[in-house]
Formats: sequence, structure tokens, C-alpha cells
Amino acid sequence: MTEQVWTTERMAGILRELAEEDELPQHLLTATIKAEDTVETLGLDSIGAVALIDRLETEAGVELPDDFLDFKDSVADIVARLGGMN
Amino acid sequence: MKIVWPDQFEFVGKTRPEGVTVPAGEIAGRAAHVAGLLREQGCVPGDRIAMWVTEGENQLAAMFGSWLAGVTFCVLPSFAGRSNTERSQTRVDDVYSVLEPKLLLKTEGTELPENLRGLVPTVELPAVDVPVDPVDPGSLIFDRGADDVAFIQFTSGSTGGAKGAVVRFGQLQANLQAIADRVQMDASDRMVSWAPLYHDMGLMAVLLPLSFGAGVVLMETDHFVRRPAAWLEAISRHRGTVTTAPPTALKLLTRRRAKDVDLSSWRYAWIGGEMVFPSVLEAFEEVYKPAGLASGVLQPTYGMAETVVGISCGTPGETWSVVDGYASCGPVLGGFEHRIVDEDGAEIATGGRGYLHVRGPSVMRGYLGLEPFADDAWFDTGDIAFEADGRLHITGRVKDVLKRGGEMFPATVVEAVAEAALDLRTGRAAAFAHLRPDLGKEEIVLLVESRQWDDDQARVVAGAVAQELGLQVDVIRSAQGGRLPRTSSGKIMRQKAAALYKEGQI
Repeated sequence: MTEQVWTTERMAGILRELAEEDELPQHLLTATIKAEDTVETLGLDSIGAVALIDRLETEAGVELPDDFLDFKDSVADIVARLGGMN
Repeated sequence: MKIVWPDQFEFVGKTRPEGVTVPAGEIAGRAAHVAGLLREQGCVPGDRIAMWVTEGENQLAAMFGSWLAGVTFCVLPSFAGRSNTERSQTRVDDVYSVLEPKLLLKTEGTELPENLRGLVPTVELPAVDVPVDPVDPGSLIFDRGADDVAFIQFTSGSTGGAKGAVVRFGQLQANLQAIADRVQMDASDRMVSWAPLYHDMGLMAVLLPLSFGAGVVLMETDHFVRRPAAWLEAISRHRGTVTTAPPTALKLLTRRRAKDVDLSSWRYAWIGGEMVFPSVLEAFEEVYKPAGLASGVLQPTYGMAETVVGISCGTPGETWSVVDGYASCGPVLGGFEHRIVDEDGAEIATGGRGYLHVRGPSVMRGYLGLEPFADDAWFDTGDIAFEADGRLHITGRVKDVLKRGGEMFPATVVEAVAEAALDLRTGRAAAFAHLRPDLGKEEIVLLVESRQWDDDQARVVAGAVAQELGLQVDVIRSAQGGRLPRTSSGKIMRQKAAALYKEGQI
């Protein structure tokens, strides 16, 4: 498996893609997404979180547990956790 | 009320994903124990109690124990445990002021949300791993008449104020029978449900099978929320035949697919609680056809707490039809009268769109603490519908309620959270649903009256609403021109704002 590089920018790109697909709030298309933003402050609910986990799983190429995300997780937390899976 | 107990129940949850089997005698024993506890506390027939219980065994015990003691139960709405803000506390206090519960039932060892602490005396049910003497279920007599109140179900009134639908045993039995007749339910059926009991669909999922002695597999709602595939896995493992879910559940499972499931036992699913778009049903059917899902299993359903649960649902095995892009929700259930009227209350010819009114033995006679309805009154559902080929098609909603994942959110509450987050005066925001058949969902839109607007404000609102209400708002922006449509008295016109938004004019 190729080693994956996870950054805030990559996460921001994924969030924007999902917003583009109308799975996540539309303001994420233009808002600056920062490392300290959390799943909750980004405006996601449990339905949005499932969409995000699913996309991360596809991107990471590995199966992620259903409780991979917590609403208090920051973008930095998620980046670190995904990076640690390499 | 006649309850026909199956031999056993199955309970599924995060700590017991494969399910545990509990003999009916143990559940009956727990129910008898609860009835004893309630009597010890001085509860008498006609009293009301609140429930905050998440374990399946104790949910059933609390419901049936209440009925044994002649007490009316109310499963508290989810927002009671959602957040600790002053606004949440006000909503809980509002519910309590209407319900006036004598006490609150919880399971020992579980923690109550802060909002619920210290309001009324708490009575604890034994934890589910603490054995309780079994009782022969046949010995339990639910001596309740048609006019006695079975339960109170809170609904989201458009003003955000607490409105408790009063469901009497006569209405409950009439509605369950009408649904069972339509679906041809019998003791060979097995219900698999994760729908929460504060929701009409969740209560129906428990009470309908127990009217016929059918099996029940009860899954913790939170287990589904964390792991949607667990629902289909439970149907597969326990050979479920009937179930219920909002379309959002189908969407989630179309995206994040359950693997290695056999859905060939599944014969009927009430799909409702929010608008049902044909594209969602089609996509789910396509994904799960190889797993044995037959066509005609998914059935768009329409109803509400005020009619116990159901108003219409499809005939088993018959695929829904689509007219003008709207899925049929089946013929109106037996016993209901219905009419579709215009703004002046005049009946519209069949096929025309208008406001849906219903009446009949399942329709409640009033909200708790409010003036009862007149005997022959029509109940205004607050929804817009048309009828085609004898089937109802729901096309929209007049009441100011937003729906996502089968949950209802009063527009006023969403607006209040947004206004507080932006430090705006009341009446500066409008929240409404924008139907998106292309996406198979109701888009939730929040427009704010603000001269200066940037992404940061949208972020603040999105975060506040998600945190306080657990709701994701799809579109948050300022109203073009900085103004929302208002009545001459200055009241925000949400429906007008929604219409202007649809046309791209606001």
C-alpha cells in the first residue's frame, strides 16, 4: 500500500468535495477550513459524519470503524489519526 | 388493550451486536416490578410519568409497567438530552409544564442529562443485568378502556412550544389494526426496529407486533446512528420480515453499504418520517437487490403522532408509483376519512393539490392541556397532498417544521439558535425546507437578515446549530437585499421566503 500523506489541506479538499455533492453544508465550499475546526463546529450532524467517514475510508483505502469520528474531533485530530494508520 | 406476547424478545446494541434473547416472562416480570414501584410511589390511574430509558428490556418494562399501574407514559423527546444550554432547559421545562409528570423513570446506574435532574422524583428500574423474578405474561392484565390515555407524544409545534398528542387506547388499537390489515401482519412476522420510542414510528414498531404476538428485535437507536449497517445485519441475522425507517437511513446505507447480508426474509418496510423521494428508494433497491431485497418491500408511508402513527401506506408487494415526481404513499388506511381543500377550506377535485385533512377513530381528540377538538372536526395535517389512482402523494408542508433523518425541528428553535449565535434580535432569521427531488432530500435553508455577511458568520451559525440541536443546516446565508418577507405586523413569512428562495429571488 502506498503511504498516504494527510494534511489539513487534503481534509479541507475532501470536506469541500462532499459539500459540492450536497452531503455537507454549502458554506464549506468557500469557508477557510482550519486545523482546529471540529466535526461539530464545521456544522456536521451524525448523517454528515457518516458521509465523511465513508469518503475517508475510500480515500485511505482501508476500512474505518463506524465510530472513527467524534463530534469533538478537530481536523488536526483526524489528520493525525489517518496519518498514524500508514 | 390486549398484548399478545411472543415467547421471547431479541435486543441488539453496541455491547451486544449479535443480539441477546430474553424470555417474555422476564420482560413481564420487569413490567410487573415497574408497576409495583409506581404504586409504591403513590401513582394512581390517570397519572402521567416521564421515561428516560435507553435499554430495550427496560423500555418495554416501563411502557407495560405503566399500563399495568393504570399510568400514562411519555417517552421524553431527544432534545432533553442533547445539550445543556438555557434554551434546551426552557424546552424541557415547557414539556414538563404541559406533561406534569408525577415522576421520571430511569435505569439504575445510568446518568440523567443535566436538563432532567431535580425536576421531579426519579424512580429507578433495575439494571438489565440484574435478574428480576419472571412472571407469566398471560397473567398480566392491562385493564384499560378505550378512553383511557395510553401515552403522550410530544410533537414539534410550529411555534416551538411543547405540544403533547394525547393517544388513547381506542385510537391506538384502531390505528394498529388498520395498519395490520393493510400489511397483513400476523404472528409469523418479526419486526426489527431501531426507531426511537419518542417517535411515533418507534412506538408503532414495538406495539404493532405485540398486538399479534409477532416477534420483536429491538435495537438501540444510538447503535444504528453509529453503525447504520447494524440495522440490515439484524434483519439478516434474525430473519426480520418487517421494519421501519426514514429515507435518510436508506440513503446512508446506499452510500455506506452493509456487507454479507441476506435480506430475503424482509417483506415490508414503512419508509416515512420525512419526505420520501423516489430516487432514494430506487437507489437502495438497486444496491440491495443482489442481497435478496425484493421490489415492493419499501413502502412510502405517511402519518403523524396526532393520528397515532399511520394515515396511509402501501399494499404489500405493490411497488410505489410516481406522479409528477412524487412517490405514492399508498391508499389511506381503513377507518380514515380524508379530504383535500384549498386555502378557503373548499374541497378540491381529486387530483388537485391542497391541504390534507383527516378524521376517524385513530385521530387524537386534542393536545394535552389544550381545548379538545369538536367531535366531527377535521384534523388539518399541515401537509400538502394530492390523490391519484386512490393513493396519497405528499408534496410539501405548510407547518414550520424542518425534518432531517426522521427527526423534527421547529423552525423557530433553529432560528433562535442562529440569532443567539450572531447576537441578533429575535425575528432576524428564517429557517425552512427546500425540497430537492434531484438530491432525494429536504434541503435545510437558513436565511439571515444581515447587511454584512461573510463565511465566518455562516460557520458560527452552522457550528451552533449542530452543537445545540444536532442538526446540519445545508445552506446558511444572508437574504439578498438584507430583508426577509414579513407580514404587515412584522412577522417573518417563512413559506414566502421558501417560495422566493426556490425562484432564486432572495
